[in-house]
Amino acid sequence: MAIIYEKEYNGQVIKINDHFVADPDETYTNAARTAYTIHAEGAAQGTNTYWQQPWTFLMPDSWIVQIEGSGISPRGNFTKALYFSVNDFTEEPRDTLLLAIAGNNFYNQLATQQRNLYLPDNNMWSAAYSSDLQATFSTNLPIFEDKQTAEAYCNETSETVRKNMIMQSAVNYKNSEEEPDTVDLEINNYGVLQIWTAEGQQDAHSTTLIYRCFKIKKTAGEITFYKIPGIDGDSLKYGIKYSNDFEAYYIGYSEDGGNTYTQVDQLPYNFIYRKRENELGRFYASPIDVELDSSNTGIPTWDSEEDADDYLDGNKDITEATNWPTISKNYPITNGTEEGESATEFGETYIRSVFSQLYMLSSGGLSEISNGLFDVSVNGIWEKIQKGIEMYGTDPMQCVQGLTYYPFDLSSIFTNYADQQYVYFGGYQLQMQNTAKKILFPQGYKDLGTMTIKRSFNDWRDFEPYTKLFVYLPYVGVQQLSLARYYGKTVTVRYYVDIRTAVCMVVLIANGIMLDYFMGQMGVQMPITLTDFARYSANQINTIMQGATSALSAVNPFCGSIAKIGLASASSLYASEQADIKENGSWAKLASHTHDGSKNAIAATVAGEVGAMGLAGGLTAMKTTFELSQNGINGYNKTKGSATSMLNCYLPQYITFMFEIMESDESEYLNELAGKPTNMSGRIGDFSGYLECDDVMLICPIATDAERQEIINLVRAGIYL
Amino acid sequence: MELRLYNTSSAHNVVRKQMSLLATLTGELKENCRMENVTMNVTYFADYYRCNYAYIPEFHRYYYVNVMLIDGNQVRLIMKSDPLTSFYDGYKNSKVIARRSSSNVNPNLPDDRVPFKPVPKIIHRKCGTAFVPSSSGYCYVLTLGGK
Repeated sequence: MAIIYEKEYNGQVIKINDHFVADPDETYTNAARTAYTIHAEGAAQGTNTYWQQPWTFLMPDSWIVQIEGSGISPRGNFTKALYFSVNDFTEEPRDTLLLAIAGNNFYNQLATQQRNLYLPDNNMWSAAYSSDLQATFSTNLPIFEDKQTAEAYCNETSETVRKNMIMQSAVNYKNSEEEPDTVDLEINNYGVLQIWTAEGQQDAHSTTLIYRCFKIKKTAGEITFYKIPGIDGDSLKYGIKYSNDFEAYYIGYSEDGGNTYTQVDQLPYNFIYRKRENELGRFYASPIDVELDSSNTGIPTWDSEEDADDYLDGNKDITEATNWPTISKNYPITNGTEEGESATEFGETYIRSVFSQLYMLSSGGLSEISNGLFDVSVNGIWEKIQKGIEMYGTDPMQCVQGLTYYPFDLSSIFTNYADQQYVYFGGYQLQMQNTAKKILFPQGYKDLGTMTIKRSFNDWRDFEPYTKLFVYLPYVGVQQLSLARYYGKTVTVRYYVDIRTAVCMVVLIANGIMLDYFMGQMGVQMPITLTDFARYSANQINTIMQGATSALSAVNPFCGSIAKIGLASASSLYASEQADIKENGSWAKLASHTHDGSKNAIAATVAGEVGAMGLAGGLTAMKTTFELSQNGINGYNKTKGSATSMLNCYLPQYITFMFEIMESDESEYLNELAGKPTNMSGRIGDFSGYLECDDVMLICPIATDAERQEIINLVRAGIYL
Repeated sequence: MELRLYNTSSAHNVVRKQMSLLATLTGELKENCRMENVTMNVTYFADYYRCNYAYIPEFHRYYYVNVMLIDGNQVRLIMKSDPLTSFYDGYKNSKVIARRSSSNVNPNLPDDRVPFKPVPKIIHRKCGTAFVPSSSGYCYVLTLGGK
């Protein structure tokens, strides 16, 4: 028997073997199902105990449990069901998947044993335990997923309808009258016993219905036909062969021409037969089609038993079958490669620019950087000028490459990043209070959702041009999709983002295979404006020099001349050595450079004194000039980049699939009066109602030529059968 | 020769015609004729004006009938065979490739007999989660030259 259901928990598996067969129309009474069996097989270890006969446990080699309902000693009327349960036991091994019994009004006196058991009721435990439960069960009790449903089933005694509804949710439920939805093989053309004593003369008694009608739905293995030789003319006799591993979910044969089928373990015959018309003799004529093309769903036929054996042994391919052209439609298209479809292997990028860095920033972090770079307070600006060389020659704009906004938190895609409290402008480290997330590898994608595309009409109207499928993709736009490619598939919409160009790529994926991709612009690029501190600082130096010179000149023309000399030297010194400019120290240093004390101590003294005298007035003037020049700092701002549109952000941010469906206005009588399109091949008698044909191979020996032609013309124009 | 006279309201392209028996008569062939075109004179019968169909067992054929009144108590029946109904059992096993059918439809084949309303129906189905533009998350990328 096949496994129909598996429940796994924490490495332990309970398998349900076969269906619980029930008739939903059966009226259940309290007396129903008082007798039941549970048959279990599985690996087990440990000892076994039992409370009451006839429970039988064969342990530990083969774990077989046979429980008869009568052994439960029920008191009064009750209904039982099983349910899956997970219990956390106090003893090892704990946390075990159980199959538990629910019942109403049980006589619960089974011994309690806290092991991982498999058949406990509320207060009762059966015997065996296993540390490695791999049990297979078959039972005629319904098994439910949870205790609540099982109890609802057991307690529902008054309303049969309700009880049956619950019963049908059992994992092992099966209607006893149910037949398989589809069959692998169906020979449904019944025949009659025909005795032909002479050509054209059929014996009057040859009307016995025969029952070579059968259906098979296999679960494993192969079934095939082979032509039995020695049959004359158009008669055919096919033997039926099965592979050694053949198993069938359903085998049925009919004795009433296919009206009702009886389920059996194996067919009561191993061949089918079709007699040639007017062949003399005695025939059990199962009128199989010559090529078995309309009555099966892909069973191969062979010219000989040897070929059939080779096929079942794997030495012949099904494409070599004699009826392959007919049955090939039942097999998947292999693209000529005979290989299955390959899943799409998406590429990965390891592109990492070590010369520039990508920082993910919040608006707070971005503001902090902006404020830092525009900090023109006296201390701030001097600090930055001091660091000017490190910072691209005092122009931070030189190291800014771009600023882009994205409509979602980038850290959800680019997960390979480092949190930092600073960013680097060239070699200059700008400290931050906020965290900048430095992207280490710019690789990632975002799955925004899935959508299952289903057909609306299940006919030709589901396809273009009658139905069209569009998808609106944020930041890409509306794209039309090919319906044939999408029907029956669950589509995942995946966004890739190129963080350097702000371009996004949307990939539509189903079953691991890329169906379509589209490109769009996602990021909003923003211009950046920063101050060119190189020009600004140079201007400041000039301003300082001019202010100091003017001040000294105003105090004493002589001293002013000396001061000019000193200032010229100081300016040169600044340019060459980047000396710290301090109000007193710098001037002292300047003096020591300008006037070598060993050569002219007097001059040094004079110059120092005179310089000191001019400094007070010079600095006053310089300060005023600097404050004025601050107001003009915007004149040194530079802007890089330009803004791209952010209007996409105003459009819907949801992915939306749009079906544009032409609504048909079909006449109520269309099928009755004019039929519907078909390309079916068959015999005229196979049809009913309206029939209109393209091709007719008319067999009507009694009619005259003119009458045959009239029939053909009418069948082509349309007749009502 | 036996002749069964009917009234039928069924069209010519109906195989199993609805018919009501008016009279069963005997008649003689008016002249030599082919089986598919037969002319007979029969005695006057009451419902002759309703007669439009006939069956001649000897010929195994049904016929469309035109009735002509002739002198005396005679009625002339001009009959043309209806092979579609007459020989159905003979040709029902003939193989065909059907184009239209009421019983065996291929739902995937377009039907040019079906008209459509001029305005299509639009169905929108949202999918998954939306982008959530925000300035508070890590939504900005600053690219800097540097280490």
